Amino acid sequence: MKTLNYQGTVAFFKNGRLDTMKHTHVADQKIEQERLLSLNSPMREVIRDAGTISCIFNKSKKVIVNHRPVSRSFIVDLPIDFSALNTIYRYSLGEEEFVAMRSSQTVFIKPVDQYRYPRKIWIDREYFLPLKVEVYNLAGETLEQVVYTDIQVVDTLKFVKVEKNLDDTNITHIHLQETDALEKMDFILDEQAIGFHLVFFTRMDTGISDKKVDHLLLSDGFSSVSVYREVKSDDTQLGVQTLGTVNSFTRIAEDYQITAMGDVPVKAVEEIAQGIAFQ
Amino acid sequence: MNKEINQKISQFLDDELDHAELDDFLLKIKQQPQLKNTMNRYYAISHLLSGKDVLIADVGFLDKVGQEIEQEPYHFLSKRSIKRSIKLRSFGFWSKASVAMVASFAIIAAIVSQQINVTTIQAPQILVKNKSIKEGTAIKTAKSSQHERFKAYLQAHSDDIYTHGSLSYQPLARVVNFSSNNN
Repeated sequence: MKTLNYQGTVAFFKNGRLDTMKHTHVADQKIEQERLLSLNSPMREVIRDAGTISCIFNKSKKVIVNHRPVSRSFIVDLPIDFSALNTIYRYSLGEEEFVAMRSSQTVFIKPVDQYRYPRKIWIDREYFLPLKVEVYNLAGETLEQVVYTDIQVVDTLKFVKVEKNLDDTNITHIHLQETDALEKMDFILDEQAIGFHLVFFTRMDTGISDKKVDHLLLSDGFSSVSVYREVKSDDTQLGVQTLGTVNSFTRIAEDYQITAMGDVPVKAVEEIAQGIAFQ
Repeated sequence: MNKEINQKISQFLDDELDHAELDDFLLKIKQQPQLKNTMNRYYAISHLLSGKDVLIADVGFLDKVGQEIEQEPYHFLSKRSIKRSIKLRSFGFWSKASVAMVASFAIIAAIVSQQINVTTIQAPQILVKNKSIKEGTAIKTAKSSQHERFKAYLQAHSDDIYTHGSLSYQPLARVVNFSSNNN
């Protein structure tokens, strides 16, 4: 997945919306580049390059640059070491199925608890690329689908350069500041946060107030949860909020508001938010 | 024709129109705004004959109330509210308009009391209006701030903006839902 050159068409189905994009993955030794090109409005080009994602909207000329994206792939985030997750996920093989006219092996990934969603992944039997991914809620209903409709593995592909002559006024930077050391955090997570481990900690500008927002990223290998902490405001909406597959839970702790957000069940974001304590 | 529509106005004020007639009547009112004057006159006569004092609202008042209802923020709806709004929508456009018009008249009825002096009546109305504008602005600002915060959090966390382009094109507030029993 990381060392091959491949390109194809991918359909993303999420939150009741379907979007189809051209996907390209280029690898040269240890350098990777991933590129998405939309086929439908809003027309945009997305490039993941050296850990940074740049998204350029053709019509509005708006650009979003995320200097520390949460995901590692547009298709699926896979853990580096599957066996390390044996305590929270169970794996089982399904039947052979075809995706994009390629033979694939289905793999079921079922969580052992109620803190994460089950998944099914179709893995190409020749190149071991994920050809299709489905995420289900705890009732077994499909929440999200990513599927190649065609894919070709090739010997070489060219890297593309992100347009440098962009209008600065149209660029929105996310996570512009360098990642901080975890030791700088003045709050702690209670008891490993139900199987989620720390990935990074940073302070970011939201543009809403002058004050920085602490952003702590957690992951269980497949799913990520962001924890945000900022000085509480009068209009804070407490409790659960849901946007499609993303759940969040906000509570007030001392003078701060803590929000946990992720593609995980409500129970997970609630427990993670409740588990934050101050040092 | 005039006699017929005048009779309809009378029936409307007496709440004697059935559903189909009400739709037809409201359509006529929309097409012929001058009929609102006639309706106001009938309303005043009706109340004076019954021995009640009445305040005649500005002809544009109904329109303003209608606009206020249209502009009422509808984001951050609870699931129950969404279900209720879906049920309301199923009545169709004119049913919704009927509800709005009837609600408008209910508001007028609540305001009506004494037509002693126009200036003394208008003063409190202006005060109330100013207060509501300030409260409305505060609510909108608060919700906008919540919306922006949620959007910023999502942008930092989710890949949806890249794979769906949704964050920059669709107000999040329209699809955000507050709930306590999601999976």
